[in-house]
Amino acid sequence: MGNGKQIRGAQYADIAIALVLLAIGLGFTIIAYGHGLGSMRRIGAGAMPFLIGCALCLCSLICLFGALRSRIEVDVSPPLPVALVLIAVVAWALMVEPFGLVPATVVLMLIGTFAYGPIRWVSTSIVIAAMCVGCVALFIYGFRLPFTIFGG
Amino acid sequence: MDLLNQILGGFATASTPHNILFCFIGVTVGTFVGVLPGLGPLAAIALCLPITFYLDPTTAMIMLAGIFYGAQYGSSTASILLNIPGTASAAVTCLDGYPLTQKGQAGVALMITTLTSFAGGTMAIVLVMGLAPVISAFAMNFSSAEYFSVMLLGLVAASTLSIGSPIKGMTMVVAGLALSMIGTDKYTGEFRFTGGVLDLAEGVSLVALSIGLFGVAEILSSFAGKGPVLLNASSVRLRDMLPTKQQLKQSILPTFRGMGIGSVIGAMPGAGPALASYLAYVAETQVSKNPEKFGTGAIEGIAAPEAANNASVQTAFIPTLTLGVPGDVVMAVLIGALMIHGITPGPDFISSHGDIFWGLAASFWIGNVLLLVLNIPLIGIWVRMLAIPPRILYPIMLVFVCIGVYSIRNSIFDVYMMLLFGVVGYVLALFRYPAPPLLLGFVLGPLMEQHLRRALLLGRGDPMTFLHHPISAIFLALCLVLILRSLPLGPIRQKLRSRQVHRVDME
Repeated sequence: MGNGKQIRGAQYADIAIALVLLAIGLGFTIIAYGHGLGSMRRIGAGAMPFLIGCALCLCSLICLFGALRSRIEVDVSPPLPVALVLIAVVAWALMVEPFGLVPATVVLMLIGTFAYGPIRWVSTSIVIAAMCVGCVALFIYGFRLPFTIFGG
Repeated sequence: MDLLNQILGGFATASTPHNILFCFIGVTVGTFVGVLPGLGPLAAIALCLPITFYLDPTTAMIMLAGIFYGAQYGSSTASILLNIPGTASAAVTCLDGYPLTQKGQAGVALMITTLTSFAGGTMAIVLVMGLAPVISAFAMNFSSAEYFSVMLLGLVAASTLSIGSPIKGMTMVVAGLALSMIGTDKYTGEFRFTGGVLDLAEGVSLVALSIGLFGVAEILSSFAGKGPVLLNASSVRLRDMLPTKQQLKQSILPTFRGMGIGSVIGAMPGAGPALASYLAYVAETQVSKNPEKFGTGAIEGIAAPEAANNASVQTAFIPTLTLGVPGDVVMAVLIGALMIHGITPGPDFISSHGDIFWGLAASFWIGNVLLLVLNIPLIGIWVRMLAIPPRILYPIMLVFVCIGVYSIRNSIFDVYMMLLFGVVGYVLALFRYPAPPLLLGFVLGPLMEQHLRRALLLGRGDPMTFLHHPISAIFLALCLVLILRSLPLGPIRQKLRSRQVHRVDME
């Protein structure tokens, strides 16, 4: 398990987040306007989103000023394990329908465990086998979820 | 008599073997996630949400609520033994709990927290049973204007009273409201903000959002931690847990004060158990004759906050179930769970779904008794849990989150959405943007829009209708006070003051 480290340029990232939020707010407001604001008595589909978009712009502007004025330190996870976790979930999503619950679970557990350091094969195999049996018993036979054990 | 009959009916519902089983599962899962640092009740509730779709609403609520208050019991264990709070509300317990461990009195500290937690929870249950019907009856007179304003107050309070930057909290509330607008507009049938993606026609999935923001983001940030904590499990034995008469006596009054503070704070929208335990601790330091002993292992320093946070998690159900306004984000997810079953909490909830309300309230008491059994004789097992390495725990969690999110709509799209929200939640957390207000905004957004529309229609298009209703006007005034209090006006005030002084000098 790696330790987090403080990243350089955290302040720029903080500013970037505020700018992204501002851009989302502006886009949201413009699209909301396109849906029609309606009248005061019968407000349109765009009225509430329009108000929300304006509020998001205002809030993100205040956050932007805050980010410009103050420094921030962040404790960030190392990128490789984070990427491995994301890949593990994507692999599960790609495999579960064509190959079934057990192969998808095995691949996810292997990649997920690898994210935390070298795999200890004996203990990992036992945990994976127990998880597969448990998931099939609980979700397929217990809750009758529409998964297949193997194959699509 | 009527109230007594309803309470007895509630106990009859809660004490069926099926409901006791799910209450037991809930409090056990809650204690488990409470004990493990970093894994909060919200992540656990989000993970269990899909399972509740296969249960009837009463059993579902009993289980989810059990996770919430079970986590408060469990969270003190890691605080006392390792100085690492299991949840935010247990951070205060570290202050005097860990020094007690260092003095070799960990067992006593654990026993006192379990007993005071039980006392706090029990008193708050009586309040829930007594007060909720009264508030419901009062809220029956609410119109859409009052609803809109009280929800707005809930959101403003949640963002400004939470720990951290109020403006970042408010930004997250608004972002949550924006997310809730995605999907089909119920009144006009228009697709809003879907970008032509059909999977978004029904809106963003609550389960994908909550599991992404709290479950996946938690796993992603786990790599930045300090590594697994190893502990000698045999260090806490049952016979070491018995407090002395003096220690019991010392904890009685703080427990009552903690109960009172926790009950009031819990019933307020926006103020969660963390604030309750913090205020209870501060109050104890104020009333104590020897304030210098706090922080060095004072029994009062663990009794009051533990009673307070357990009382607050019970009374938090009062605004949630009687007004439909969640006090904090866990309550928002519980409202979401009820809505998935087609039930919207509000003033008529107790009259129309009395079986759920009274069954749930009675289950609190059963759950608290179960927790007493789980936490005193079985404490050794929970202590051993602290030694589970993340390389085993987190991949297992990943499997559960994937299955949970997929099973709601059999949709791979939702799994990708969860992943997206996980990354967003991780990045936002890094830069101190709190995720809980976002989820509150997401749950309340559609309800607020509905009441805004109705209020303006009934008020013939006059926006002043929100001020013409006195209760609504009071709620709006409170919103304004909270917003003004949280604005960073300090430097501006200082500048104004220095200018005034300058002017006086010139004159």
